[in-house]
Amino acid sequence: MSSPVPQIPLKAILGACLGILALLGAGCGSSSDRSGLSGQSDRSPGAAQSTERTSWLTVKNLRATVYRGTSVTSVVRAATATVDQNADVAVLDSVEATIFDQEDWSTRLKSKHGEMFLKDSPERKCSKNDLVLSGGVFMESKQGLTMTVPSVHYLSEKELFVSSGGRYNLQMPVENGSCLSSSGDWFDANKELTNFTGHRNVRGDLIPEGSKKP
Amino acid sequence: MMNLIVRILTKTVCSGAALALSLLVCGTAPAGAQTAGNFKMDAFGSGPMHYEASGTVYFESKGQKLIKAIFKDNVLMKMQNMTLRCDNLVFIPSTSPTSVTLLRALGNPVKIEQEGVKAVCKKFEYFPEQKKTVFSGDAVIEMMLEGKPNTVTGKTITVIQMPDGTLQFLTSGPSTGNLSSGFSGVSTKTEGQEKSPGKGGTGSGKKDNKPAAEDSRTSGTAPLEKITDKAADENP
Repeated sequence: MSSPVPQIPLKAILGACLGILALLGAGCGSSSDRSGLSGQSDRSPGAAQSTERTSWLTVKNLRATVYRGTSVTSVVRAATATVDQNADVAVLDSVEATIFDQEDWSTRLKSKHGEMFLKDSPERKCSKNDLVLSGGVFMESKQGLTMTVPSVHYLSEKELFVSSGGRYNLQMPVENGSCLSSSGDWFDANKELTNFTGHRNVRGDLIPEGSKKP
Repeated sequence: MMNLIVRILTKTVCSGAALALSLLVCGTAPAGAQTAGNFKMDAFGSGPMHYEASGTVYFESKGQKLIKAIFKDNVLMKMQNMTLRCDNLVFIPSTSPTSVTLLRALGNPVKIEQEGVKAVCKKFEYFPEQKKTVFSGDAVIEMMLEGKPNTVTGKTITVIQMPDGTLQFLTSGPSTGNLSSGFSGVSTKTEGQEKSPGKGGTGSGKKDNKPAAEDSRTSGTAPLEKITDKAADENP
């Protein structure tokens, strides 16, 4: 049974946590036995290690909602979210993300690890609200496309996915029970995964229902 | 009993500048078969398909409908009984996902192989709704007719499936059709002058069975690989 998930915007969580950090002072940052604070982790989730982190804040059962105007553009859930003292990135574990279009959800993602950028990060070439997921990323679109990929970056502003770190494997149902498969070194796609480009050494099949590979 | 008549007619293209040869092949193909020899038009875009590309593959979809696929760089597409190699391939499915509205391949060169058929050209287009296939750019089609090798060359070769299932070959530009082996009644017209009947049109298969406009690629006795490789070398 899953525990109840707090419905609190990430901004509010971070604001509260940063306030706690400020009150506790720098000396308390390394203490791991204080509520809401944990010591520096030695875990290195996927592509999430580029800056030296001295203090960490861990939030369990995170749910972060990203808005554009009044519209929800994405919802990110994580079993744990760890924020460094600069609060520029939240390092996530057991991530589930949902990307929305104007009407409904368009793409869902699951991964073991992830990062959510809380500020622009020029050195990482990431913008605020970007997601970098890694560790057996599973993606599915509303149209039924499914895909596995080692790592994927969701560019929030451009609303694009770009993969990295290894080959993707895609299965896409098309009309009349046929199935299109594709694998390649990397891909980019729009957030609905309806405009998809596989790059380098791309191969696959289009198999009508009941047929075998040629 | 073979009942095959081969006619080569003159026909000017729209510009009027180029001479076109029309090869009308009326055969006794089995009912339902879309063949001239072993040439099968319905192999394009039907049945299961395997693809490879060293560059990119683009898919555009709407709902569960694949609208367009574009393959780039060293493209290999294998369908039932057919292999296609090219550098750029556009695949637009029809209402049925495994049939196509358009299949367009671009060069370096385009190579198509079916059982008993090899084609080389710079541009290949298949229009299933019109039952038409167009091979453009120094096109060479080699195929087996009644078990014997035959070659059609031309700047453009258009293959149209007629309502009775036979295939019509229309070639434009400097064109030759070497259908000498095993056929009678071959006649050729080049640049408005008929040379009829073609030499050796009775199945001798000798080198002197050459249409008037024949070049080194049109010999029915030339090895197929040599012919296709020469055509490939001429393509960019």
